Amino acid sequence: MGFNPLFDALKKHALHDYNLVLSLDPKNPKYPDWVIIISFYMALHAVNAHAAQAGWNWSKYSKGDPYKISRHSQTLRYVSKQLGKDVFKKYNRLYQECWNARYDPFFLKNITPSEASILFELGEDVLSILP
Amino acid sequence: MSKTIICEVSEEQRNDDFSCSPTRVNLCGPLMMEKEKYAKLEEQLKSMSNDENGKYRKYFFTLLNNLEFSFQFNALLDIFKMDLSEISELKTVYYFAKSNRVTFWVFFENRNWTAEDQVYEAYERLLSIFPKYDVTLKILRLDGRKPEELLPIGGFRILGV
Repeated sequence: MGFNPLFDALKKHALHDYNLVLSLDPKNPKYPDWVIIISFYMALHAVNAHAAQAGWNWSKYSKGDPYKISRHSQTLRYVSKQLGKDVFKKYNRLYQECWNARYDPFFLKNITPSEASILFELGEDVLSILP
Repeated sequence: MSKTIICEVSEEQRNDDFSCSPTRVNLCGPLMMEKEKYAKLEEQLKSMSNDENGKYRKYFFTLLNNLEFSFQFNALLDIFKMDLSEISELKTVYYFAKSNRVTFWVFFENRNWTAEDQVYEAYERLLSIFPKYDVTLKILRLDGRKPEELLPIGGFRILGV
C-alpha cells in the first residue's frame, strides 16, 4: 500500500496525544480527568487514522468535513462495524467517561487514579489497532 | 404506478414527538399492514430472552427495515427497552428524538462498568439493526441527584425501563 498522507497525519496526531498523556503520569495521575480526556482523543484520532487507511467512504459519515468522521455516533458506528465488539466496548467506555469528565461537575470527586489508569490502558488498546 | 397518500395516525402515535406529523405510506402498502407487521414483531420480541439476541438479529433485520419509518422508531425503542430492562442497576432512561436522530440518556446511581457494558451491548445492537438512524448514547451517574437536574431543558421523554 502506498503512502497515505491523511493516515500519516492522523496517526501522528494520535501519537502526539499519547506522548502528552504519558507526561501526566497515567499510572498514578494527579489529574485523572485530563488523563481520560486526552486518552479518549488519542483513541478518536487512532480510529480516524484507521478509517483513512481503510479508505472508508468519508462522504457517508462526514458531512462537510473531509478529514474525520464528523459525529461521535458515526465514529461509534464505524468502530462497531470495522473494529469489533471488544474495541467498541473500550472505545465507548472512554467516550462516555470523557464526556462526563468534561460536563459533569461531580465527576472529579468520584473518579479514582486507578480508574483513570484503567481508562488510559483502554486508550492504549485502541491505539494498538494502528499499523 | 405507486401513489403516496397521507394517513391519519392514532392518538397514541399523535402523542409521540417522532410521529406527530401525518405518516406517509404507499397506497400499495397501507398503514394497517404496518400495524400488523409491528404487532407481530412486538409479540415475538416479548417472548424472547436476551440470550436469543444473536439468533434473532438477522431475522428481524429484514422485517424491521421493511417497516414504515415511524414504526421502525417504535421498534427501536422497544428493543432498547427490552434489553435494558434486564439491567437491575439501571435507574432510568430518557430519550429525545428528532427526525432520524435519537439520543438516549441512561442513568445509574454510581459508576458501574460491568452493568454499563450491558448498555454498550444493547446500544451496539441498535446501531447494527437500525442503520438509518443516528443513535447517540449518554451514560450518566446520579450521585444523589435527580435525572431532571442533569437533563437538558425540554423535549426529553422517559423510556420507562
